[in-house]
Amino acid sequence: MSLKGKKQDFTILRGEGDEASLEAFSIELDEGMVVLDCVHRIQHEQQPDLAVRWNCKAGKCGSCSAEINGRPRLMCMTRMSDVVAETPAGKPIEIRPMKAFPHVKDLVTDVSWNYEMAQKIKPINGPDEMNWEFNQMEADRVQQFRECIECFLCVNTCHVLRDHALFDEFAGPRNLVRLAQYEMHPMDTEDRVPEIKKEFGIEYCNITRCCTEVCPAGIQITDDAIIQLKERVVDRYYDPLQRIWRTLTRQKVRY
Amino acid sequence: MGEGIKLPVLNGLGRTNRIDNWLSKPIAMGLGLIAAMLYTAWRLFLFPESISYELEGSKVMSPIFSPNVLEWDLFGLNEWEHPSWVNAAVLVLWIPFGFRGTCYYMRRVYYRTFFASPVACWVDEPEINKKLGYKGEKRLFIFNNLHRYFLYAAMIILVIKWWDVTHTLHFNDGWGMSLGTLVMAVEAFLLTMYVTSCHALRHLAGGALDRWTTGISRMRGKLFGSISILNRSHGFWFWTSLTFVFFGDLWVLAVSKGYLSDVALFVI
Repeated sequence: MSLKGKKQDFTILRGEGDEASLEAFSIELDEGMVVLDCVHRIQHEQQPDLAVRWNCKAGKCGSCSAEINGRPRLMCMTRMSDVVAETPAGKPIEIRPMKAFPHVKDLVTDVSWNYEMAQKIKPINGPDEMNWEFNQMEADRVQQFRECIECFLCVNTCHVLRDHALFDEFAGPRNLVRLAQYEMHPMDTEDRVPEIKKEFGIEYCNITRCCTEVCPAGIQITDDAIIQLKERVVDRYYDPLQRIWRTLTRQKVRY
Repeated sequence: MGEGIKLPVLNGLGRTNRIDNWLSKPIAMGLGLIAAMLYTAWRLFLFPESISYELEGSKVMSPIFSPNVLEWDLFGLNEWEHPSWVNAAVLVLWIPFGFRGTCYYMRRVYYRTFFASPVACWVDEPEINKKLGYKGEKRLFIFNNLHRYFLYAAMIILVIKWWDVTHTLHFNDGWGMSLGTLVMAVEAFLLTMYVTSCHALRHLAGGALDRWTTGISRMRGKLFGSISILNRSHGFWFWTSLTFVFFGDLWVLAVSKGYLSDVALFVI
């Protein structure tokens, strides 16, 4: 079905503070549009002061995260043909900003908490001489985590933060991916396991996998990052046999 | 947290801006698990009979009651005058139950279906979850960390499952195969896939290491890679193997009660 010329209704969250509310808009669609194109058309034709964050329009910068029809996704990577198909006939398409973060204005939220949390993570600490060599297998494993575009859709989705607001106790999926990226790096010698358990609160994650479901970069956040880190925490704290082995072999680790 | 005013979040069980049918999956999974638990309870405590049958000398054992440890010489179990409620399943089923109960896939399913924590992504949780104070996998759920120990036990059970399959091949007149063999072999295969795609096994095989450079560590890295491929469909193996355990039990029940009859496909 061609979308060219089709009239489409939208409701978009407008305003700031307590006065933020859903406002209705209607535009004519073109073929091949994504949601961000529609927001831009509304901005261009009707509401020049509509605040929206965007940059690359190619799913690589992670700026245009929003909740479209209640589902968090990148506006630039969400095709209108899909959204029109999922929206019941006659109903408007609803666009809201991410809910887990403080609201600034319209579709813009303040995601700085993620950067503050990231600064608490110990950076990679490897040999001083930069002749780091490792094989492809080892590289592939951490390469996946570097695909992250920091759109923070996973953080917005995680119920630990979204519903329970444990921003002080839990690092959030994005920073757990960062921790996995450093911790599993073949040349890294730093030990972050006690922090992963205590400061970054990995045990708050109950692996409901919503973060993996929304990741536009296709990172297996739960299986490859979080569960792998959880297993390392088990090694350190909850596996009596490994503890005995470490005592017998006089391996000193931090708890 | 940065500056700005927090947006009002929808509060209350099931409140969401989602417009799709998000409730069907958790309901289907919840009903599946409840059915599995009710059937197991019925079989264990109310109807622990018809647990195996013989076809021309070959023995087909119900997957729920396998291994039948009460027939074992070990610890004099075969001579034990056990209370009437004790049967092979009561003695052994805690292993697969514990393995599945602490499984990383299963945890997701029961947090969603039985604890509404959350029922589905971007759907709000019931008020009580917030009142109790969310603790994640601490408190009672800390036992989930024992998953690897259940894995060790489950691997032993798995070997016995394949041993059971070989019992279905021994006919009075030689080696053969029956429909029962196929049912048991498919069940053992699915369980093997379920166990080998386990997250804890993946970690123990190679995930615990950062370097997979030489000798054994390189082999462990390759093993990690292979298990990772299976691990992607851990949920599929979870459900198919679970279904086949009950299908296998129903098959044995039906044949030993005479509702169905097993046939030898060939004997050589």
